[in-house]
Amino acid sequence: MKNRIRIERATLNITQAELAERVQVSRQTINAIEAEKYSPSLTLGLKIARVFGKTVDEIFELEEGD
Amino acid sequence: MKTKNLLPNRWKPMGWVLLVLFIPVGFWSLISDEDFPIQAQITIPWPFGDPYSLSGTVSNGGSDFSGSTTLNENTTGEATLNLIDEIISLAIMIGLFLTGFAQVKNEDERTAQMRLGALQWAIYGNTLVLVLCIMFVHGLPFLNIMIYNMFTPLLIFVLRFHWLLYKEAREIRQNESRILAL
Repeated sequence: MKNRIRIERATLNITQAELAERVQVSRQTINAIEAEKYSPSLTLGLKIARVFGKTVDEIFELEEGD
Repeated sequence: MKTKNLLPNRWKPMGWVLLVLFIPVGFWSLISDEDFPIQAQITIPWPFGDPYSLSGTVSNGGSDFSGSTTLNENTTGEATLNLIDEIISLAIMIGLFLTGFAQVKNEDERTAQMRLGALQWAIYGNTLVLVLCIMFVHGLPFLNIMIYNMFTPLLIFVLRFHWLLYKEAREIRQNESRILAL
């Protein structure tokens, strides 16, 4: 699953650690999501989208084979 | 983020201490022919006749597993049990349980998923090894396989889970040092 977290973080000018703190997960988890090594749960996806003030669709995008 | 059915993180160090102390002791007591130097004997009333039937292991019989149960010949109705094997087994089992199922420091949904993945991997690996052992090991040696098999699913799970955590932490460190170098 593709995502735009890195871009949105840069827009908001927040670090992985700050985003992790806001959505109550570890920095490693945010790192793994950005690197597309881990697909977050629906709950976590919604929390991330809320931090950026966007919908889940605008942050995450399905790929072929997902 | 809350994860369900896990022990608090403060139990994890206790698990490691139990494993470091008791896994070598457990191997020694399985491999060595000598009795374990520390005994934990208790005498219990045993009014049901021959206490050999209690565990099938006797200290003065022909069994390979000596030192577990002794009939007190001069005192009828009593049996002396040496609980050291049980204490070692319980310590290893509890140690594995605490290290595997206590929360890690940064517990979240991804570590929970890694834990479940490691558990699945351990059951697959253990089943494969057990199938091979059933096919190729026969007779009394198979009893040793069963003794090891009491611990191997949890042991493989704990090793796999911590290997995954270590590998990920290493990858992140490498990525960060690469970014800093640019």
